[in-house]
Amino acid sequence: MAITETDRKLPYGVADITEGDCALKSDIEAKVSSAFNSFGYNEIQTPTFEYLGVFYDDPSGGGDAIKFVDRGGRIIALRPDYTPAISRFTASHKSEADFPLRLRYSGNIFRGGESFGARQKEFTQAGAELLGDPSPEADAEIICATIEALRQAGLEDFQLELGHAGLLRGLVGGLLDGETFRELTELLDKKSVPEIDDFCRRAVSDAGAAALLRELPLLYGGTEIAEKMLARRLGAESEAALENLLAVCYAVKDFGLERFIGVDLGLVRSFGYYTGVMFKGLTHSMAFPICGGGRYDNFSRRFGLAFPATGTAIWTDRVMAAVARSKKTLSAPAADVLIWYESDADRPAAYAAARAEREKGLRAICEKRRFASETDVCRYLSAHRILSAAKIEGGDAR
Amino acid sequence: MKYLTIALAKGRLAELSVELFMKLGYDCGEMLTKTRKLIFTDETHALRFLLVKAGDVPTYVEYGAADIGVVGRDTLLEEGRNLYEMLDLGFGKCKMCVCGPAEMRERLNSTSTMRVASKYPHIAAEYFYGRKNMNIEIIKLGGSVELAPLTGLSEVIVDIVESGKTLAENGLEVLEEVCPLSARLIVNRVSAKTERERITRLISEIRSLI
Repeated sequence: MAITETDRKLPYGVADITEGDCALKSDIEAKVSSAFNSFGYNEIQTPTFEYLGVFYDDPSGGGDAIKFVDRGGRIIALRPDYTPAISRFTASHKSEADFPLRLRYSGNIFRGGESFGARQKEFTQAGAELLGDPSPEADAEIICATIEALRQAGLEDFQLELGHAGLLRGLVGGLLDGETFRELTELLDKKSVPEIDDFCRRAVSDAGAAALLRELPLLYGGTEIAEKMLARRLGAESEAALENLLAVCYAVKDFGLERFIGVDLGLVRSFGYYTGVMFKGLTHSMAFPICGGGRYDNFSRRFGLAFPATGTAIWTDRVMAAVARSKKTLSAPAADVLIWYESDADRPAAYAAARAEREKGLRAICEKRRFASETDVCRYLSAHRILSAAKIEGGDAR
Repeated sequence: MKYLTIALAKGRLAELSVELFMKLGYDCGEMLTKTRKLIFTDETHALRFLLVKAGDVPTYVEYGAADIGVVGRDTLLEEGRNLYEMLDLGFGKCKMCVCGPAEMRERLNSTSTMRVASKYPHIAAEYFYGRKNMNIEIIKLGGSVELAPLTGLSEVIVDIVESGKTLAENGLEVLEEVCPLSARLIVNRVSAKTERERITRLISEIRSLI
């Protein structure tokens, strides 16, 4: 039966990647992987799909994961996020003795519901996780490795905004229930001063806390923002959070990369598992973050082994789009050499010549002569060098 | 110095915004003259003003084509864009309301076959489905929404009410208030960080006026 018109189209939210784009993407993936590798991170792979419970502990949830049911009736999810998979991996295969452990990955994640840019349901991420190390230096290492990876990928004009999950909890956690706290984080994410004003009138009776919440959206800039906030002595939990955030910033400074970071005390992340310093990376021309991450201590307890952890994920497609926008044209790289042969008798010599070129590290295409002139071939292949088998043998067939 | 680009929603809000920026000493008075230009520049302060359709203001700001925008809260609620909403400018005050003929007041909460016409389908859905847990039929219209109940296209409408004059002239009235509206200053997420000093200065200048 012939394929229908509808079947020829791709499902909404996925896309093909053409040669020129793919060359750029692979190049970025290779550079990011090599940057993480240079920090001593070993690559692992986890399955593309796992039981839904790995990704969501909320039984009613499943969020926007793409789900299906296996033969036993259990719900399987295409990986919507790498962090839980890496935690599960570590809890399954490792023990205290293996810490600190440095792991990296590169692969695709899938989300059913979101609408991010042109490719909406399948994304590529490359990331690194430092497991079993609670120190601020560990967070700084993850942040600096991310910066180096983005620079290797070809970006210079970007910034990582750092915040701390303990700060908001320390300031108002005790005053709000789970649902209201979530509402507040959504308003903070939009730095919506008028809506926060309205929220405080409704939900926050403590005048001091309300005043602070109204300020929070505008408290971003350099480390001095966190230093000033710390000097105001606003309670043990928020002070510990600010001290930890500053310790991470100072370590990034010692790396010599402080020009790539900023502090945003109003920073919130949609994942609930963060416990410490968290960050997202922004660059001009991209409306969505190009990377994100943070500390998620003891998140792994539900997989049977609790440990401190911090990690980062780079949104490869968005980095690619940002890099692509800075270039005029994207084209697939041309082959280096084309080897022609006119008759089957020349074929062994042609194959041997092609192999010799390939062994030199060149990209060689070998085929029976199809074009009238070299000019035609150049238009077709933009090959750098054209040899014919006969020529190689020193004959005069041409 | 890099230009800071400000997108204004064409119409009444742009006029009020221009007044505000002129009070702050920025040169954008040319926008109030009859001209077909869409971009206006204040060279002294490296500011650039764009005139765009209200619904497009959040889009320009989200994608960074403009660093800042001035737009009604109605547009922000309807568009749901990924940006910072940093300031209530206090002008352009009005309300989003459910309106209809008086006899709908009693049926509003009991009927299950109601149709709602609106230029704001998301706001209408969020109100009826999200807040009131009612599954109703929403009909999107492009304008003159008051016609819908008069022609039998819908029972009620969700629309902006300023004075209520248009409603009264068409025999309709406010049945329920959805939310208050006013003009908002919105900022691109990246610009907020990279142009922090200029943008926070502008915000505090505006705050001192309102």
